[in-house]
Amino acid sequence: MDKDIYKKLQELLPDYVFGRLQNSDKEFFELNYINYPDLVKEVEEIKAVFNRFDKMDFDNLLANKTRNISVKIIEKREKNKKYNQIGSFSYLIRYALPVAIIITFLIYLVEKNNKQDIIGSNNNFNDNSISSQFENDTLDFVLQGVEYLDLDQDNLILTEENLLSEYIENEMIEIENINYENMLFLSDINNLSDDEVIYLIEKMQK
Amino acid sequence: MSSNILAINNELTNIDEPATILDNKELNNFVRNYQKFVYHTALRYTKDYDLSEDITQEVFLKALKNINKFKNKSSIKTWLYRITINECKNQFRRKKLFNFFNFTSREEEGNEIEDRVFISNTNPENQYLMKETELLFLKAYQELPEKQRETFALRYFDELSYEEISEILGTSIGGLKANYYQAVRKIAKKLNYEIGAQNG
Repeated sequence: MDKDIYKKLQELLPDYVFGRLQNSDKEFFELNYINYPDLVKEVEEIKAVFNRFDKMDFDNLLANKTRNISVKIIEKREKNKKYNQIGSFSYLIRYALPVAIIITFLIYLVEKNNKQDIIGSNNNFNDNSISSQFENDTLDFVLQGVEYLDLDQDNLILTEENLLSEYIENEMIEIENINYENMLFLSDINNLSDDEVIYLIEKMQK
Repeated sequence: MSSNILAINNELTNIDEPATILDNKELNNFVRNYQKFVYHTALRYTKDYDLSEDITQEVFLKALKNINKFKNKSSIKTWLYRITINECKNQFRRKKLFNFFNFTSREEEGNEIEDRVFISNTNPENQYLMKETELLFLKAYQELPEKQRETFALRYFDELSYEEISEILGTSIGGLKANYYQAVRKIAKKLNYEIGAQNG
């Protein structure tokens, strides 16, 4: 058996069965393959299988599935042309606008945090703005007191300011006094003996 | 300025102008010459008729957009084949991502062509017989190793030359011939066995 010829016959076999060999190759194949019984058997097997269906059917299927593709492509191309004409505008909408919205929102948040509440629309209080809730409550209390006392409107601002200062000063003094007393109390406890502490605790529990 | 597109043996040559100035007639001819080839390639990968049609459209749109970059270093079919394969892969990636967020079961999708691929106009008895043979053929064909399957498809269905297939697949001509022979032989053996088993 000539290995080269056998190998060449194997390579030509499918095209021979499907009728796609050129004349020279076809003659070569028909002359030589009969010397190889296994190749003869293979040719028969392949013919038996592939003769059961027609490749034209598959071609018809492909033709059927693709018959409108060129039309659809032309339509898509026309659409894309129009889209490209407004491309820069759509780019703006798609990218620049959301970014602008986000930046605006961030600026709004920053501005909101930096705002300071100013009490009173006439700015008659001193330049230091009062913003704590405690001080707002105190002012409300003071204003209620002013209203209750039916003070002179002309003197209202000066009276409120004095009342507030005096109130705060009194509160601070009281806090200092309480702290001082607490300090004394703690100092006394530290100086107590263990028995005296136990006595105190028992008394408290009763 | 008119385009320099010449149709010689269904090949486009001397492309100097961008495809935007192609008129619809030229575009139509170009698409019709290669649509079956592109569609069949996509169908082999996706096993989905509708998806293959979408991919075919995308392939031609991309090809037309980049046609001035085609330098004639390869054949048109080789070029289109590569675009098609890339587009199929892109579609798979998109589909994978979509299914991930939709929790779609891959088993529900199915990966086999269950539909009839061949259409026959013969009598009902032959139609039944052919349908069975077609299904058996598809099964045997899909079971081939990838290189043999691609070689078989490009040679048997698309009728490309060994030189063209070699350019597409990057395999030597001798290797392609061996792949083709093995593919045909395996399909024939498988079908003969299955048909013989059915006939008792």
